Amino acid sequence: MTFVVRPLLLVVLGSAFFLTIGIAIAEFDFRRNPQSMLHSPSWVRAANWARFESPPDQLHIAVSLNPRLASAWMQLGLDAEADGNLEEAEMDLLQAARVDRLYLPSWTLANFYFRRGDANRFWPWAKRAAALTFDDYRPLLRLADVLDISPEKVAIRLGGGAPLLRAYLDLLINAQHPGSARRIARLLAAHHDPADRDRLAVFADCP
Amino acid sequence: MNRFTLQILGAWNLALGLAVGAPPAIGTVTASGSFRLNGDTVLANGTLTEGALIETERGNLSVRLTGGARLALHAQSRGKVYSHRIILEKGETRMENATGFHLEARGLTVQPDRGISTAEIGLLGSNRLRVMVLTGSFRVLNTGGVLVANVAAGSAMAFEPQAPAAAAVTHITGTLTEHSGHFLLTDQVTHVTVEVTGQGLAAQVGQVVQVTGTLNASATPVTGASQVVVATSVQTVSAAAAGGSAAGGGAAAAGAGGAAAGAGIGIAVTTVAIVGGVAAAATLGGLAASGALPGQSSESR
Repeated sequence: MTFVVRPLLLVVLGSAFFLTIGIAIAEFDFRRNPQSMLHSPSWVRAANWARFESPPDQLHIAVSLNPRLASAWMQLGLDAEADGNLEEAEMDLLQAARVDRLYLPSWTLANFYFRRGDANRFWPWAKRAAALTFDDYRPLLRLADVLDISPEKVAIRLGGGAPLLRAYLDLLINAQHPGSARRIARLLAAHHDPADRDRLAVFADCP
Repeated sequence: MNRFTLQILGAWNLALGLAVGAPPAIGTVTASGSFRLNGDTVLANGTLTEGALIETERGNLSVRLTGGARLALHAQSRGKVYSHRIILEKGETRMENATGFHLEARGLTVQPDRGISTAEIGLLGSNRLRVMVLTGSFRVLNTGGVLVANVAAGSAMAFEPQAPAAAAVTHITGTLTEHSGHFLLTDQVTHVTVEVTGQGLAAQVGQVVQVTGTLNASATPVTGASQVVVATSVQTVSAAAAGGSAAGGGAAAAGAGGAAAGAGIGIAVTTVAIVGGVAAAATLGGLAASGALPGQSSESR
């Protein structure tokens, strides 16, 4: 068995090494002469074209090389929004969400619709982002809290999971909104999780 | 309820919805990684609302405000952003396309003269502010709105507000001129033109002089000047001394004003002026280091 695994492992490690070297060389080539890269497209090289604050022409080249490069679509969308091309911005951001179903495109789209004041389109993307959030719900909750004055509606529209409710409760307590916090505490209590006992004890005496 | 009433109610609900739903967004912030927004960790990009606190750790932040101003907050920096200003609390930022926008830090206000102006503005040590202008020009004002300096493209200056007791002290150097019975002097360091009042000025007209005095905040300056200074001491200096070795005088002035700009911050100081209670020193090194002024040497003290 070892006789087979060891060479296989060496091949994998060797491939990873050469891939890393390839990416580094591609980046060096790109920085030296971006246009020369047009004749040798590959997804590896494309990734180097879509870096933070890359100019739009480089981002367009990047997405032509690799249409699944969500980071480039997002940057293009944000650039278009800053230039006032809202239709193009929306298309680019939606394209990012089509090719990347993880957190970032959803978060970016929720922010885009928040800035536009488009609550109807904000909520589905905010809910999707909430479902994909793995650590900090607060940035999303802060946006949602601005768009709806009912804390229960905010919580339900974002999915209403226990981790989200906990984060929302802590946020409201820190923001000194006891009335809203109490309403979220009731929703959290309905989950009957013993881990929330201390958190909810504060509201035990409240009607 | 008839159809007309329903239409009225529908329109009212729509208007109310728009009013409630209208977000107070003032711009966007983007980064290559995570950053802090209002104390929360945010990934890649976010929305700025009035008074948003943004903070960087290792990477840079790019801020685009709806008013058109663009900021690049450098690593290890923090600032509170409003639609028309940023309060820089830590680190350094680049400010561009900032018509109608200004930066506040250390009690000073930095604002562009023109929309095309670009500057790198950063905090130095515990009480200094550095303004390095790349394009256009910037004005620096003190807490009272008094013009402290005009910083032109390709130049960098360091500022240090003085203790309140010395806030009215002025120490400037330049050629004294006379216009319609008023004496004017444009300081060689800050490029601020002041009207000078006092005894024996007529005899010094046309000469490079070093004026020490106090700001007369209640007086209205003549056209072309931004403030009136009552001179307590006027000393003639040679042209060479004014242009080159004024550092000695500057250092003395800085000492008088409370150990002002210049010492031990890794920047070179050519001379020091005090205008509106703020010590100002033209600095070298920053722009030369950035490559904007190739070949220019710096001489750190």
